[in-house]
Amino acid sequence: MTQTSEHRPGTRTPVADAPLQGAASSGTGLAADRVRWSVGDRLILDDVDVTAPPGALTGLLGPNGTGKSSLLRLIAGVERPDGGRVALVPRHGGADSAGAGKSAAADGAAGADGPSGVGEPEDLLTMRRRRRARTLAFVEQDAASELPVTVFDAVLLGRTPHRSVLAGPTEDDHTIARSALERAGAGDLATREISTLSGGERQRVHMARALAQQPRVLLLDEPTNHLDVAAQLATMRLVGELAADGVTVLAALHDLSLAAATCDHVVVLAPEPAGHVVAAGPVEEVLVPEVIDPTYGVRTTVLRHPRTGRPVLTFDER
Amino acid sequence: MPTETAARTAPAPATLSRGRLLAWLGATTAVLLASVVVTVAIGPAGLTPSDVGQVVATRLGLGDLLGIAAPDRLDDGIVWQLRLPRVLTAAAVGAGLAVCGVVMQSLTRNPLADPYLLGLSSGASLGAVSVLVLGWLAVLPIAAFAGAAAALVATLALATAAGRGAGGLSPGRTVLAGLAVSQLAAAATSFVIFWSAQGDQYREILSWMLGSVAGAEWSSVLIAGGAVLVLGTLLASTGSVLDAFTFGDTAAATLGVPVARVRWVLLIGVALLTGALVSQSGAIGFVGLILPHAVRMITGARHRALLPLSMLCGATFLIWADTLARTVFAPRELPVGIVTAAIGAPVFAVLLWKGRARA
Repeated sequence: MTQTSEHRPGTRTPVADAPLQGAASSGTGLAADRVRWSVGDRLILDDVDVTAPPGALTGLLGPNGTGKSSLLRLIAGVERPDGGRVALVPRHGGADSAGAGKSAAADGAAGADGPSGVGEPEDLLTMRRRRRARTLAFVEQDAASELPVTVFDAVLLGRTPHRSVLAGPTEDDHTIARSALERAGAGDLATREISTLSGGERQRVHMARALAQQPRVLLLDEPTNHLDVAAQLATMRLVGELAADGVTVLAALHDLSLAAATCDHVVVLAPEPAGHVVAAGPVEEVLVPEVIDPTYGVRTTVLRHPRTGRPVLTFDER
Repeated sequence: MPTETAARTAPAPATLSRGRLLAWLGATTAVLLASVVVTVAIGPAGLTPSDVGQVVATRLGLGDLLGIAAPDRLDDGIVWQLRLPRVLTAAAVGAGLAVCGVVMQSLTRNPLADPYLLGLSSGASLGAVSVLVLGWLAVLPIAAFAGAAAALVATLALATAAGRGAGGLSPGRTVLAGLAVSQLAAAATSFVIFWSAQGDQYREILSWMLGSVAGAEWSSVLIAGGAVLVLGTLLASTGSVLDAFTFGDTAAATLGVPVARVRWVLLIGVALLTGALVSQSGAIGFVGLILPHAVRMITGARHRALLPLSMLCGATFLIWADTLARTVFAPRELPVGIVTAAIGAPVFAVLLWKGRARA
């Protein structure tokens, strides 16, 4: 596992994930423009712009208290921003995917995506909740339940936005949930109770729940938090594979070296006076001492990984 | 990543299949109906279940059709005027409390929540006791109901105010706010009793506060049963929505659930139903707390099975609890709330003990 986990593998495990592929291959980017948010009088996010290109892994970085989680919650529609816009930007539709076409038609709002080229941006904040939930999935940090829930039931929850409020899960929902579980590498956990799982296993289950939503955009809040090194690498490998499959991934990350090893793009937020973007772009350009040192208050040395050639960051006190 | 072929081909693991759910629903319904007939027969008059069937069939106008002889007039009076309304009220209250318990536990994400958690029973008691001491027995249901609703509003207002800017309405804060409102209402109730109750009112108040269906008439069946049929059925149909709350509000929101609206609508539904039940039976504890846990052992946490099965089992449970209440120390009767507490408190302790591994 550790042999292949640092770089994004081009080959995927050949599991039965056909139902997941349709929705994932439409190439929808995410663009947040001038997002502002405050709690009471305290400004948390000050005109934050974040772009997550389609089919890539974008890392959202920054010290504690820069509003990374808040930004994800705003994009996910859990909270309302005070200002700004969050939109889906179809970049290269190509042969318009079955998944995107189906979900648009199901809402009676077909035609939002052009057949090819750069389509009209779709406002995520004004989108109907259920439609948004079929477009975008959010894996929070430390989602837990006090009730005894089996893994499979937890993953089935991801199908909620795809069916009527009163209906129960269909045979299709079961099939999709099963392949989502396989895709996340947790097929053998299906009958376990969630509270009995290790942190890494639980993270895979939450990823599977998000995949069962068949999202075009996946938001992850500190997906490697509290995981041991092997589980961190396995999680980031899965995330990389999903991005390679066409899902747009925006992940808040704590660990700069992990971000350097796995992300395609990064956005760095700084805290003072309120969360704002200090740099954004490809890993090689952004994860440099000039950006990191003032933001985190450290002295950074950028090394080169002897095998992958990606940057490896080490830190000293300033 | 290697995966087990067996797991991939296994049919919908751990999900109670439609067939098995229907079988459980059928079985629990049969047990409930049998319990009604049997418990109506139990008592000092020495009736048999077939006597009960005879009375009920005749009263429903089926006597001639089925060729059943007219029942004894005394039997008819005991079954139709005394025991059947009591048993049916117990069934309705049990079903209603159980479904409210499931909804409260799910919405507050607190497995030890019950329908009375948010100060509902204390509020209802305050309303009821206030009119009892005034002697306005006719408006007791309305007063109990208004008290429950006022307590709920106070609890949620307090929890929302306390949570402003600090993560909003959280389960923990809601429970603590409920506790505060509960204590305040209880203090006010004690004050009202202390200040103005006299003579026989004490006994009446005590019996009401402990919970009892002893005085149930057909009007009680109508109010409690009607509330359960309308509100209980509505609440029981929200399984998919409650499931979406499994991992909390944020997860529910990202699954497309309008969290705030759903929470308010369901909490108001619970308050209305609890208020209607409490107005007929007083505050019967532990049913809404224990029954959902027992049923979860069969269904798992999925609400589409849990809600209807909890209703059916809750009805059966309270029927038998009430039968115990009127027979163990016969001819003396206990308020059924004492029986449910005597059964429920040990079960509650066991749940705490088992829950310690998870917490």
